[in-house]
Amino acid sequence: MKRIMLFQLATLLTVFSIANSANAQAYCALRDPVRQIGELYSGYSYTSNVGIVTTDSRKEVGNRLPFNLHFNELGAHTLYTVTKAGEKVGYVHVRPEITRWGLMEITWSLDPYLRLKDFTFQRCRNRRRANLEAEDFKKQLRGKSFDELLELISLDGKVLSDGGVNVDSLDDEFAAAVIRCALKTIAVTSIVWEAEVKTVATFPADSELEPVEEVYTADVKEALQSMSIADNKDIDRANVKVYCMHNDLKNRFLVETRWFGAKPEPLVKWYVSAGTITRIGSENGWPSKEVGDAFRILEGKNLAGLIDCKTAVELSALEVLLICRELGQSK
Amino acid sequence: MSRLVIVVVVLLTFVASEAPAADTLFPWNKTPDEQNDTGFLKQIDDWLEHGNPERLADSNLQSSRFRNNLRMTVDLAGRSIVPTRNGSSSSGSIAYIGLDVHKVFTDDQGDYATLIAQPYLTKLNSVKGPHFFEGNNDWELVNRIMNVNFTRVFDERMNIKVGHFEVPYGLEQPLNTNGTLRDLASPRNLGVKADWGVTLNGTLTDYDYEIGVSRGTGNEFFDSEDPYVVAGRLGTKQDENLILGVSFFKGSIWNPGALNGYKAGLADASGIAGNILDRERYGFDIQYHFERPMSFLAEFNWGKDYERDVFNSLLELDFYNPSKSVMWFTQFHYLSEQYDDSMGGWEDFIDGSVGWRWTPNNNWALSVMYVQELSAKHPAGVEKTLGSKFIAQLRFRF
Repeated sequence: MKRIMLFQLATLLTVFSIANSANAQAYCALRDPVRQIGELYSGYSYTSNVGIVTTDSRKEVGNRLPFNLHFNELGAHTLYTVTKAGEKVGYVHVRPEITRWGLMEITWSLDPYLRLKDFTFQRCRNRRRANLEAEDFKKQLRGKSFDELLELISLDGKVLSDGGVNVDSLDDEFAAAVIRCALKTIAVTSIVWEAEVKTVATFPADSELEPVEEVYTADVKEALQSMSIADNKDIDRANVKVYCMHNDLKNRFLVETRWFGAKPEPLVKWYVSAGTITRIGSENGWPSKEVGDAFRILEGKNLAGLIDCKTAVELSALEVLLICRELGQSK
Repeated sequence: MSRLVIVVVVLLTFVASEAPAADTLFPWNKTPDEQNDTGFLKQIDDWLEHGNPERLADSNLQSSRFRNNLRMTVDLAGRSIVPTRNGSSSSGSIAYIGLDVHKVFTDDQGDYATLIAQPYLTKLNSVKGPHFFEGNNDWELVNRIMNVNFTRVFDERMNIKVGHFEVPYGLEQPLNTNGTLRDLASPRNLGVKADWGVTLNGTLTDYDYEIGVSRGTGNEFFDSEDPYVVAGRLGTKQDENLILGVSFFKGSIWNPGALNGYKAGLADASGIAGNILDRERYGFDIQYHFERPMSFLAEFNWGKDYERDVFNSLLELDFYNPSKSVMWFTQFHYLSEQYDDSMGGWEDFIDGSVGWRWTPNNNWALSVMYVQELSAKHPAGVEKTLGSKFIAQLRFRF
């Protein structure tokens, strides 16, 4: 009998030694944040998506943020996709943050476009946690995108930036840690669960797209003028195509532009939803990896995040978002 | 031998049924390029490395469904034990090799079940193990935890867990120290840590709970002398800094080792027959996490072993660094049982331990612990000598 057991275990070890990640903690100690999900999305159902935070993911987070994931944050983690009546309404993810009060764990709720909806502490030793659990603090973060959150903290992420968030001075470092954790959560979610997030960030597969006949309306031209980009030469304005979704409350657009900023000129497809760029692709490929990266980094940006734009790619994104805003208002 | 052949045939059949019809199972008749692209070994290599992306994308395949939301880790550990008593030391060790599997089952409506499977091959080397080991140098396949928790029978307020689970009692239920030197479930208190059965568990607005009925046989499931365990814990939610819990335990445990230990403490054990130990416990546990990384834990247990009153307790103080990669812990166990006055009244036993755990990353964990018996009183005033124990464990998960 023992030989059979030994053989069975050896077989299991051989066949299943596919383990692509490990966690220091035994899996029997894992706990899903079901109470927090219930508090954040009462009456909704959720689906687990286990993803691996690899060293490559860590590097990519480091490219987007001035601070990085701790090595203990690597390994398998879960993104919970929250649905109601079959429609994805957001995501929940638990992320730790090292503070001088010990390891803090926060359950984050994000909307389908990875803007911050809400949070609850899963573990927090700081006795002043109630101050940050209060609506006064939370409402200052709700709806904020990655870029908007980034502006709220200092370059090293250790303290709040001036004039960003209003909290008691005693909570400055604590609040910065919470925002730092939010930024890591959004970055990790968009990198590790890219496929899952894209699925909902782009249009539904059966959506009906209607072409917009006149793109550069008087309102659009005026908006471009007011932002001083009426003379933007990087977009082939004569051939811009815009499609909007039929009967759509979220103002979702697909904008196709030929971009003159690099050779061979990419035909860029911009997916915009509720004023945020949810996805960027090129129908004929990117002229170089650098150009592709410069476009892709705009995913998740909205108008507020592009006010101080400097690069040619950002200027084009600003134009696309202004087009969508004006056309959306005139619908 | 015939079983071996059956297992191999079943495995090959499984692989063959997963292979696309157009692919030949074995690559004998293929060119080197074809073999590189579609050969059987390439398929295995792909699967072992990261799964075949195209096949994974086909959600109708068994392998895709199985690998989705799967965590699986090989867990290797070696534990060295040096006990000392009466001035003389000995040494022994335990080797563990096992799989730690966590799988969430989902469908279009969301998650509906979670599987945890932890088969561990455990080899003793000159160490006295639990009763299911046949000697001090035996090995066994130990099912640490092996259950399915059905999470959508009702809602998050009530799940049903079936299989081999930790008996829901005391601090061990929410904290779970399986596989680590630090242990919150004293074997002298309950006599069973994990058992086969069913629990109802869930999270309420401010409370967590789990109530279980189980076989009372521990690692193995068998039908002998009718043992059983009914246990449960209700605790405040784990995301606060002060966590309180109450537990109960009632059972007849099939554990000859624990029973022999119990009988050794009796002046007359003639009235106790068989291999089961009757126990009843009521527990209260507390965790307090201070603002700086330090925690205080305590568990108090009242109850009976047969007709004798029992009071057992555990106190623990933990210190961490902010990232929790280093942990210092110290524990005190106080175990006592009431005997006749003529035999000395309450017998108590106290031990204290100091431990350290270092987890530099997700793969490695090094732990050491020193346990010292501080007080051991035997019925009828027969004093026992005090011993100590040094334990070190290196663990590698990949």
